Amino acid sequence: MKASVSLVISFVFLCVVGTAACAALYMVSLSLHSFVAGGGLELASRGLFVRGAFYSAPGVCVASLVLLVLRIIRRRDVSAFGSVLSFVLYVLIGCTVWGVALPRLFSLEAGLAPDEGVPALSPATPGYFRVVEDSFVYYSRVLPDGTADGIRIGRFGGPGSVGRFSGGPAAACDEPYSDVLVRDAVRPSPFAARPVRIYEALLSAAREGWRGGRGGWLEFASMGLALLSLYSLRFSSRWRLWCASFVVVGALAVVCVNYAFVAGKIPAVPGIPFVGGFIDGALANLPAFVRDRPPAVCVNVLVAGALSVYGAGCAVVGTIRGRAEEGEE
Amino acid sequence: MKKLFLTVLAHIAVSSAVCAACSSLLLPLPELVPGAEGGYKALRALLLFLDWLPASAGAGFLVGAAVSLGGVEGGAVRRFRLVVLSSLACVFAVFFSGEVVRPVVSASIFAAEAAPRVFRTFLDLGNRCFQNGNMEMALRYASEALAVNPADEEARKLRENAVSLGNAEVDVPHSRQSAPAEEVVTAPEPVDVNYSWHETSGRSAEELLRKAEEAELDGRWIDAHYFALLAASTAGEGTELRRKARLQAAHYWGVLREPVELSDTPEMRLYRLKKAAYTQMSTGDNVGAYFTFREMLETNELARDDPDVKKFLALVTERLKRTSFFTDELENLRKFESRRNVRFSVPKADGSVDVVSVRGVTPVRESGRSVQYLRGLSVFTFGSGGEFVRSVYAPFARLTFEDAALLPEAERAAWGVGPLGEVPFVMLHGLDSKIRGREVRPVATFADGAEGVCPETLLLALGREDYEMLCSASQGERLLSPGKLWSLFKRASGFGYAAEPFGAQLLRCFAYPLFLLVLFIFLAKIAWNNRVEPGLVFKFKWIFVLPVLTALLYVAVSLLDYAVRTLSFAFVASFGASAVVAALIVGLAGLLYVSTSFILHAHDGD
Repeated sequence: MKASVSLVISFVFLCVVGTAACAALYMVSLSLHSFVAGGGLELASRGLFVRGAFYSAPGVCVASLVLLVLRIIRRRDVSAFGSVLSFVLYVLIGCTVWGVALPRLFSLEAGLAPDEGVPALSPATPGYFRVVEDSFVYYSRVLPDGTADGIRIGRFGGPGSVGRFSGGPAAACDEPYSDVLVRDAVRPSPFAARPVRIYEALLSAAREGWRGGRGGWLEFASMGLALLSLYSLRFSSRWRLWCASFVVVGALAVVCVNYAFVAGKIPAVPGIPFVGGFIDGALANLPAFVRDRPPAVCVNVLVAGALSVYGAGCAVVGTIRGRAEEGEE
Repeated sequence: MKKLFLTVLAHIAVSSAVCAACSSLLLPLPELVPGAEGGYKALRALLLFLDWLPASAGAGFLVGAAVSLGGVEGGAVRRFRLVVLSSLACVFAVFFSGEVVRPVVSASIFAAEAAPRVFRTFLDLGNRCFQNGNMEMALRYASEALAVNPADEEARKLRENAVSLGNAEVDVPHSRQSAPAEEVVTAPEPVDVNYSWHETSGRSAEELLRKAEEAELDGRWIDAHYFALLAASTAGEGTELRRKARLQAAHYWGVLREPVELSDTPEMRLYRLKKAAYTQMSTGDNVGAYFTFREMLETNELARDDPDVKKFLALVTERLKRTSFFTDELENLRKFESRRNVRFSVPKADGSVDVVSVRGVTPVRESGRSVQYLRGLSVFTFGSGGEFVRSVYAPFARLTFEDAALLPEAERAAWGVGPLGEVPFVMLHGLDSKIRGREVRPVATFADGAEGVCPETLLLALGREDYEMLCSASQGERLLSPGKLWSLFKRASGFGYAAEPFGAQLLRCFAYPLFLLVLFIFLAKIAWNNRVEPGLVFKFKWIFVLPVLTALLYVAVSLLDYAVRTLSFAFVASFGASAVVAALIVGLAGLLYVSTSFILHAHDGD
């Protein structure tokens, strides 16, 4: 009993702390967008923090659910009753998150002003060397109308590569950063930028689903169903690290597949003629209710179904084997 | 502990092999200078491996800990000590390879990728100069192209052609020896020369005047005029002695200017040449005088025995070296360039700014002093409102550090240099020490409607340490040592560099290992949670968890590194130097959390 309560508490704790940390990081990141060399930086901003909280809370809650599975996996010496209890708790928490918490979050977020707290781009400051494309650019002065005088030093030498310009555009910014110096110091590697992009695409798909009423939300929540069913993977191996890795990889796979559907990277029907015709024929036999749903939903439901069957099977086999061992003793 | 390290090392070895294979087989080879492919492939494989090292070390550590921690007896604290020691070892290895080895490797890769383009540029320029008949520049560009790609036939042929055709031109001046001598006899009056201590040798004005009169008695008019001028410059301003010395000098000059009898004996020819050369020297044409004296020594037999010629050649060489430099060795020095693309701005007291750009800097020791040869120097001067005033470009220049107190007041004022400390003194005029006519001269441009004289020397209004610091700043903050980063962070703004990137990089030097340590202890906790039970047999197929974990960790480490970079920069930009305190607080809080969480759970009952 105590273990189960601690499960719930640790889940809530993880959600709150995770959201706060991510919101703080979001706030710091965005405040750098308005920073220019020679200017100061306003770090704390309530508007940005709140935006960051709404931006990261859905992701943090879903990730905490996955971590909850890992936590359940790592528990030892659990009786059958304890195992069933934790499963029930898990399902309850999962349904609460996907059915109640997330829609509530989105409705709260809709009440926010669209650009509240987002910093504006600052104009370039003169007197600093910046790397712009293939050369070093120095602005000696920046006029109020946005033009600048200065010099440009080409990186690779040769005559004419060091030249003066006057009345050129003061182009020290590179969306979303106001100053390329910040971009060069802080730029994420491609491997860090891609997960952020995936998350943002799924977040906007979630918002759209929520706006589509209950039906729309349920379609998006099919991803949640697939994620929740990853619980079955805890039976996949004797070694807990293997199960834990499997769960994490499974979660990432579900997310990536859903992203692929959202970003339109998978066509509705495969282009191969014979197989396409076959799939068309098969689809025609299904009831209209199923056929009209987007393919992502079908894939999610299929995955959830398969995993649930697997999990139930493992549980049944495990119980029978346990009874048999008990019976022998 | 042994099992853990073995796991980590084995996994790292396997990852390096995979990286080498992937990079050789999958990544296409860009265009390279011939002969550089093998080295480039090795460097690229190494870079890929270094990119993946944190992830593969972490995955190896995680699996190794999961396999071995179950068997460690002695309670939570003993296990924690084991974990901390092995984490520290792994963190050190990862940090060292990332911060020390990686920048070197990526710089080499960048240079190798840029080489073909640089080579093409120089070769095209050299060909164009050759077709226009400009052998001087064609030779220079051909040499630079060969420095990049020594094996190229086209560049070598161009260089040989430029040398042979260039030499043919250069032979001509020798036969023009007598003609300029005749022209110069009608030259204007002697100019005031800034005599160095070396020339006056500490002798007083009276002594020098007496020497002049002795020379007059001997009929040595050149010496007489020379000593009289020396006496005039040594004597005090407005004194009788100065007036007298000047009168004497004018008298001797008059004698020198008289046309001589047109006898054509060798002695007379020598005398005419000496007179011509000395006149050049007195009228400030040190270059002309230098070559005339040299040519006399080389071609005229009588001149070789004449002590005057040697004496005056030495004097004029010394005068020349105060404002110009010899370019003979510059082609070879190019290989020893220690810095490229040096750039900085120098703010001056009156609000104006000099913006300096140097393509290459080569430090050299000459007679015990450190001297730098600069290639492609441009200095732009902007007024206090940012408007353009003047720019000076010199293809080659020579930089030394001079005590500002010893420099002439007028020159210091022209460049806004204060009277204290050592300042860079740059000579812009270079010449070949053996061949007349091969000179490099600076070029000046002025703002529309303004006019001015192109300077032959310039001063930079900053101290020696600041100059050295700014030369290293141009490399970019990721290649600098912590000491340099600190001094740049404190002083670089004002010289055209923002302080924040340097501060952020310095902060990251401390924050990144701390974050890695937190990560590794966190991984140890996960390993403990998911450890292999002591009785459990390790199945072979479980090895496949390693690549999965490596991939997961790679993404996680990239994200966390991005977060650390962002936070470092933001802390430095907001808090300045005390950002290090904020970062330490955050890091130590994280360390405390993972450590207590490990110790609390690492006992046998969990």
